[in-house]
Amino acid sequence: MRDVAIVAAGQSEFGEFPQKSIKEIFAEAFDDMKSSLAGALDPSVIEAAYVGTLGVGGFQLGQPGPLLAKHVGLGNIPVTRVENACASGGFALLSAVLAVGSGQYDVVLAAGVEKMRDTSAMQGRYWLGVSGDTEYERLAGLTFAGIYAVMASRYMHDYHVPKKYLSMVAVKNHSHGALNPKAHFQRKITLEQAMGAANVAYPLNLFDCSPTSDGAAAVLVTSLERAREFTPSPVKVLGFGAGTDYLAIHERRSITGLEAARIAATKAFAMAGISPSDIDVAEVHDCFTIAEIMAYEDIGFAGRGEGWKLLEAGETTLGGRMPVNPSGGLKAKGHPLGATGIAQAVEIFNQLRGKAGKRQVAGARFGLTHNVGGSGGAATVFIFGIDA
Amino acid sequence: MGAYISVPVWERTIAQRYGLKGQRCLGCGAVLFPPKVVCPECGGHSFEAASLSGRGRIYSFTVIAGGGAPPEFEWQANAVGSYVVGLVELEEGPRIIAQIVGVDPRAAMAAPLFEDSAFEDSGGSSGDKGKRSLIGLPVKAVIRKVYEQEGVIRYGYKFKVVSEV
Amino acid sequence: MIQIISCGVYVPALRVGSSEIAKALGAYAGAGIKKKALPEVDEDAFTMAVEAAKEALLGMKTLGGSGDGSLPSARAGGGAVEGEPGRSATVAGTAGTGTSLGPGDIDYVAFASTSFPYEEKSFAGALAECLGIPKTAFVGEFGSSTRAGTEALISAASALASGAFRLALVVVSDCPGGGPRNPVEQAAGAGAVAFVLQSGENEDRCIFSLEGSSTWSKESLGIRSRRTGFTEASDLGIARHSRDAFVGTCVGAVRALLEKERRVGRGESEEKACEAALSSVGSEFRGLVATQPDARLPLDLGRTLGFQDERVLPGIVASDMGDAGAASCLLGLLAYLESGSVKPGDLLLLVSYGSGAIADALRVRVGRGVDEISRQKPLRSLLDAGTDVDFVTYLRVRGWL
Repeated sequence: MRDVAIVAAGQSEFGEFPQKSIKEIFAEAFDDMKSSLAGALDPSVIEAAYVGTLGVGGFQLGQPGPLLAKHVGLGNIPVTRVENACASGGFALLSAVLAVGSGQYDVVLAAGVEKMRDTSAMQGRYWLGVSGDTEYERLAGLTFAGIYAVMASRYMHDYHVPKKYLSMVAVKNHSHGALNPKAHFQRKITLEQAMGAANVAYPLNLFDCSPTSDGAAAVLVTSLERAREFTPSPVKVLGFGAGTDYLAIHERRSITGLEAARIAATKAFAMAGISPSDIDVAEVHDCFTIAEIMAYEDIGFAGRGEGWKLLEAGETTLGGRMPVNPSGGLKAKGHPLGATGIAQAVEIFNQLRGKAGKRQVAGARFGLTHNVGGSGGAATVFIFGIDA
Repeated sequence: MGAYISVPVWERTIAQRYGLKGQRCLGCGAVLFPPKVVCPECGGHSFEAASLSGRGRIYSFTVIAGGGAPPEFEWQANAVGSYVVGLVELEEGPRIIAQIVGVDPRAAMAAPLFEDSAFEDSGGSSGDKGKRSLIGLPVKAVIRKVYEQEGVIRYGYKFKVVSEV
Repeated sequence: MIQIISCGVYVPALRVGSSEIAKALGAYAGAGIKKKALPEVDEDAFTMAVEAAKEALLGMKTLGGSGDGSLPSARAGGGAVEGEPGRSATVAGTAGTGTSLGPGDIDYVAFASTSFPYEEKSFAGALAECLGIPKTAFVGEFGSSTRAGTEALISAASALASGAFRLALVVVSDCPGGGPRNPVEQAAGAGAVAFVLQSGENEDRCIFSLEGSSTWSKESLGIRSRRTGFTEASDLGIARHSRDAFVGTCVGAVRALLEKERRVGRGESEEKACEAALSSVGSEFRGLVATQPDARLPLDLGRTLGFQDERVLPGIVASDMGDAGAASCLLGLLAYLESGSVKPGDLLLLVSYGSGAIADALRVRVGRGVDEISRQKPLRSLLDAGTDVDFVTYLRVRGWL
């Protein structure tokens, strides 16, 4: 496969926007992406597009791709909706990278979008559960938080982890989100607040859960050889991997880690030719606090059962050895499902180009994104580096 | 509005929900539930039917807060507030996810999740389940109402904590 | 001889004290009821029936002596799972010891309740799936009054006596109810009982045997009724009329039982003979067990028939679990057997009442299996294990809040 790069990246504000339509949010991300370029972007150069979205609310469950592509002025190009629950964005990016890497196209848009706050509370609860195993998991009365809570209980049981460490993930990511003007939540929280919040799915409380958000993100993927037509500092895709697992947690051997993510990370590192210790900054899928701790282990930042210890020393906090989720993560930046995997790439794109503002990780050379669908039924990992 | 499990979809799994009918791989002997086409242990394709005893232990659990229950479980949340869902490891091997009945959700949340000398169960005595994590407790399958949809009551297995044998 | 060789029982765990209801409503209508059993929100007559029946089917194994100890599920593991679990070839030889019976041997099922979750839908298939009973088994469902429990028992006994069936399961499960202010609701409890019956002579495994039954009916609304399409049973609230209907119908059935047993001497006027026979009922039977809309009516019936209260009280369960509808008299029978106040060979008079009105009277002979029952006390242990809930919890669990 030939070398591929990201040459432009942008996102809408994440949050709750009753006044904005899905099309407006998508356009906001597209425009933000364009503004990351030195010059103007002629939409006609884009040869294909992949749009990740679950379709929460059912507003445009079929063919949101054409709807959104034409709204932002793309040509009559092939546009495909990619669905893999919360990893829809990651898989849209994967599709774009493969499309360019194969040599079929030189310039491809990868985008993601979700409009989650237009639904009633009851409808929202329905849509939040559609990506679990419907026949068995869902009919046990499990919510998505509940599925991760079952993982959390066993993780805490097996590794003797006090609840405090889950809450520390929330405190950290809120402190990062406070530095991100596009984050859904831009205020810090205390450990006491995080630990004392109302139960959602024990042992997970309200502050262990990412919010449902409106938002969109977009990146422009090109061949490395044409990347400098768009920007003098493209971000190179060094490696990627994707994996799948049984959808239902009762079918998995281990529930204290996500096999799909482990597979994705292993492949990505092998392709990039670097190791987890080389990563300077990472955006991981912290849909629930326990998920970030498991991500540390699945990616290889920590050994099995030891991910939580990274929090004690602040190693993954901005200013630490290897900051994780400087954007605020899903927890504070927000989690518009289909947009999340793309938005992670947007953050790493900015970090590697030194454009991450107050949350800049100094001298970051290698960045990683980790995007998980559902409770681990699918995952993507990307490793990016500055093309020197 | 809830997850849509139509009556035909439901009825195709009745043997599992009422009778815990699983399968045994003729290649490696692994017992599987629910039935599959390919054995995850050995890749085999040949199976014989195997009924599960319904006895097992709680492998992990959560307590779903009533306010966040899926819409199809709102009737239950309205009646009892929170409810317990467990991942049960059956004697025969498979894990199975289902509600745990007859457990006070507050007690389940009050107990520590891992062994701690301050809470260690002394064994022998009648034991205070409120102080012991649900993880590891023995359970047996019972039939309960799971939910209703399209005017049809959907019954199925749940698990009830039983005393140590 | 129709023998009951195994039994199972189920009482939901929650309890509502009558004082809790009286405190909230200012009155309480269930005479003699101290607390009532409350089904969980996900329980109903069917789920309770399955619990009781599973226990009864398990009990077959333990009573079966040196059997292979296999449950139907294990039996089915031999390869017949998707079809019908194989019938044991040894059923016919139950006179011998050491045979093991399983659900696969059951060919007659009688399921009774006044609170089936559906007004129209058979539960045969559901029972078969849950219990491993062959799909070819005959299933009868009984439910037009609280007398349905003995109606099921008598039907099973008749089926076995005919020789056309070999092993019967009778499951009686009930959770009557009404609105929060309805007197029926105030007394309404819940519970289920299941019996496995066979026609045989093996005394060892017999908990009790049925030696005869009679039915008597008259047109009388009696205590309560529920019209099609309604979920609440209504009680006319004419206490004396209800009491008289209950006692009078039950006495009619007892009289019929005695007549059937030829207690009417030659030359005697029928009326006079019956009066004489009735007057000796209290001495012939060790005790009386009756349907329990409350905990007092069986005592009233007992007094009419010449039973001192202490010979009725061991069979009164309504005081601890409320009105279990069609299951109440059979739960009462089990309580009597558990109580330790009967020994093998004793006779009990079982009287079942249903508004409308109809009553069954059954002659019950205590068998040797009673010793195991009175040792294990399956019903008493459930009654003692309840968890008390307050009035608000009660309303929530009923779905009224």
